[in-house]
Amino acid sequence: MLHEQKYCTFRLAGQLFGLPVEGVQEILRAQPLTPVPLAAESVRGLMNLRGLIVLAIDLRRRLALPSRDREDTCKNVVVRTDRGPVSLQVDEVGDVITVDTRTRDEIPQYVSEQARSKISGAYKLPQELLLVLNSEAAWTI
Amino acid sequence: MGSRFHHGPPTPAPRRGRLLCAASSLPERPIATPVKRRSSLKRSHHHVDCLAVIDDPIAEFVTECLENLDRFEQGMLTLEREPGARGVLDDMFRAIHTIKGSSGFFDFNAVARVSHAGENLLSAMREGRMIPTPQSVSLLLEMSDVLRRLLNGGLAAGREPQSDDAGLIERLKVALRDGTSRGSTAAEEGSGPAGAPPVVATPAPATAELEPTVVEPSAGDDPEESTVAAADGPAVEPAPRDEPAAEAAPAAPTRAPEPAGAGERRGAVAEAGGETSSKTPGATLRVDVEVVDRLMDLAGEIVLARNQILRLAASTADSAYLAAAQRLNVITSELQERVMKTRMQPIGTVWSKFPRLVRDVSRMCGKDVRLEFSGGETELDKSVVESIKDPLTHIIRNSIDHGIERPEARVAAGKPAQGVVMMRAYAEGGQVIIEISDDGGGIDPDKVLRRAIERGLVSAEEAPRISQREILGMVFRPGFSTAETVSQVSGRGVGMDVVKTNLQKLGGIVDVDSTVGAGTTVRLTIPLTLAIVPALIVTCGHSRYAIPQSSLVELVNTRSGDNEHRIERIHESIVFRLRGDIIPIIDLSRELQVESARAARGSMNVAVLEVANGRFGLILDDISDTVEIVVKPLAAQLHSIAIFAGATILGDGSIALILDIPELARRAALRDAGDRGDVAKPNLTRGGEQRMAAVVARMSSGMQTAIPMDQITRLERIPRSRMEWGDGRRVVQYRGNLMWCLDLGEQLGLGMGTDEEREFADMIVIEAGEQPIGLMVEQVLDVVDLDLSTMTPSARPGYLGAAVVFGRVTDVVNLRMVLMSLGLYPEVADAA
Repeated sequence: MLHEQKYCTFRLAGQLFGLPVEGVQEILRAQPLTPVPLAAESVRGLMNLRGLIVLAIDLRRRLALPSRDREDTCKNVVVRTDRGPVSLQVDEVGDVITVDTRTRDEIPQYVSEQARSKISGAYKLPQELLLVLNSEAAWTI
Repeated sequence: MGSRFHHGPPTPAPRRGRLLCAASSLPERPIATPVKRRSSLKRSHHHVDCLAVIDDPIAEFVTECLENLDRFEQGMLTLEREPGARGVLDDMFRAIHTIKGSSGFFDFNAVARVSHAGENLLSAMREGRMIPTPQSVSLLLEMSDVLRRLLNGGLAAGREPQSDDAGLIERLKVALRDGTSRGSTAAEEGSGPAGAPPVVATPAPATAELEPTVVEPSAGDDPEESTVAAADGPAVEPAPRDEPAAEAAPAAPTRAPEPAGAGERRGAVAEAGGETSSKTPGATLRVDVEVVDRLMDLAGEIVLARNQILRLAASTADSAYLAAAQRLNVITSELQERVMKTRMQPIGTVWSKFPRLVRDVSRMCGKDVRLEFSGGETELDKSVVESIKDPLTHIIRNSIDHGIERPEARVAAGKPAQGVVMMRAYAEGGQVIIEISDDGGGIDPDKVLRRAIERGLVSAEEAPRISQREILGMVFRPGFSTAETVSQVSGRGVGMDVVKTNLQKLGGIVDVDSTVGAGTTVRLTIPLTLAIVPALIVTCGHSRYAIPQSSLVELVNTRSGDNEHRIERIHESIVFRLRGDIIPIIDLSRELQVESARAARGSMNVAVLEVANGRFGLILDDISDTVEIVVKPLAAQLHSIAIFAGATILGDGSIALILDIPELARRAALRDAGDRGDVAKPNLTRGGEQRMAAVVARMSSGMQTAIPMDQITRLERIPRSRMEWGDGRRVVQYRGNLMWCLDLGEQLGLGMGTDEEREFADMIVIEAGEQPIGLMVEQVLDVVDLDLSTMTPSARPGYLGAAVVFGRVTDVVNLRMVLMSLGLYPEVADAA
């Protein structure tokens, strides 16, 4: 129990990423977005989350991954931040995975420099590698 | 309101400081304005109290000080964790400075003395003369506890309790002198209640013994009495020095991690006050601003929901449903209006505190000052009113302390002995302007500049290039003061810096205007920041945007061939001709860098918008309707995009960004100037260039002239009544400069170019270096694209040639030559 951590997982360009479940508020299907002209490239727009205006950030662009073929199938991972909720757009959402924090690995070499600053660690799962996202770095533009 | 507090802990009237832990066991609830002094409560049944305005100056002063102490302690703890944290020291310094400053007026002399000593220490840390050590931090926390105790005692008693603070002050001084505090001593003190500070000879019993006496006696007593007993009764008084030692150390670590601590303490105070208020129920209720804010949000939401329901109801045949929707409509409108009203306050509610302040400060400074008001009924959103109180206090204090001269000096200068501070408030185009003027000595720009150089704010080389306006603006820099001595009132150079910071937080502006010998005016421009505003919804590209109605003058649809309002292209820039006026115009799609969805050229929607310094046109793709919108802040990540002031949710649930009109105006002005900058190269001599934009004007002699656009800054129509004579020539005040007014006809030897009888003069504004020059003509006719190949070159001085415009022969003026003949050189004089 002591060393357990639950991660909400999702995929971006085939890679598996995770965020600590405590920081995730909810998962939503693709939502209508209002684009924000002049904003940073990774800003997808604003969405109406039950009367709250929430910024949607494209995690692919944020991590310098190639852009998605289809936008309408993407999912919104709404994370809690100290400035209110922010939505991170991902390709698809996976399971909640429990890992032993003692097995945490270094960030693998193949991760690009731009993405490296937004990833805080990695776990070797039986099938693949789980990259742990530094959520703050992901939503701070 | 008071009765519910009895459900709290069993101790009916615990002393404030001790309540820290007990308070956390209270049911969680937002507490209204926290402090209310007992004496004021006793008379609360026969005075009318405004919502959430504390009427008792001492209670208010104590509340403010306690808030400042909270801030100070937070800062202290942050500093302990990250010694290098920037801005923390400044913030802490301001907090203590504010306490020091206001304590003097309320005869809280011990508070003033202690905070003064602490301030000196902080000042040294802030200037880097001293490095904060755990010992000095402990000492400052101890100071904070002593202040807290003095303030709480004062709150209960209505005046400052007796105390012996000499020891603490001495230790603060020693700490300052040594650069480090008496390390081990301070550390020991902080380590536990048993550690009696060795420095101070206190006759009191040890703190451990003292504690129970504080809490116990109140059990069976009248709560009021017990408050008194606890606060300034003999049990507490003899041991002022011990208490901080007891509190400081345990309190610090527990408070540090959670800012909620402040809220708990507020709850505690409110409880103490609530006890007594139950006896005298008032007709008004104090409500936490947060509650009102939330109500405001909810009212906004319900407006949106109502709009949706109405849209749905419009397509139904169910009459019962329709009736219900209508009823909802009416109720919602009223609800919204009422909630908004709860937030509006006349600015006079803040002003009512100032006569006392002026009296006290002027006495302290040995001056005779009268305060005058006008416009106290101007209404502002509650949150805004609250936040301008501190800035106003600082400004008034400064006016009296630094601005107004002593009576002798005033009489000697030929002024009445009594100085006047005038406060004026008025609403102007969605903003409220507050001016605080004094008839004192004014700010001497030379002195400010000298001080700025001394302080290293500017280098001696930069100095001569700094404009007077910039110099005056320096009084807002942190750490700046022109006061010769540091007084209890001011002179530490934090006041104006606080003013600016607070105003900026509100989205307001502060500027200062001063004439040596005549006085100083500080002007605060504050947005109304109302949560619900009427706005025009417009379309640009594929998105909708909101324009606050307050800045909208008119909507114009231009068609080609429409002579009254036309959009004309001059090189890359466009201007808008609106009933004879030429105003700058910008295209929203270009500013937003989105693709315009406008169908065809020729017909365009233009919103004419007004800001403080003029009008401009905004080209839009489409215009929808006017709706009431709820202004919501943008995510912090988007704050850097100045063109958006916020966002809102429309009736259909989609989001519209709210345009920042002053920012667009700035861009319009820039674009206007910038585009001209791009084309400023003289293109007449180049073979490749065949066309040239020129302004066509008529002289009173009937002659038609064309003036090349690339040398023109602006076209203006100026009332003749604004023209004055100065320095031997005709001038007009123009954008903060004196613009020379020259008659173009006269300069060209065509006789007087303009008719003196006309109410307005059309002017072609050019710039010779920094000097704006207005060339008067009878009438500006149009802006045309001259085909240079048809122009007949001229050898006459002052002329480039002649061309045919509108079927008439038109002289093309060589402005450069005209200016040179006047001994003036325009910016691009090299080519001549």
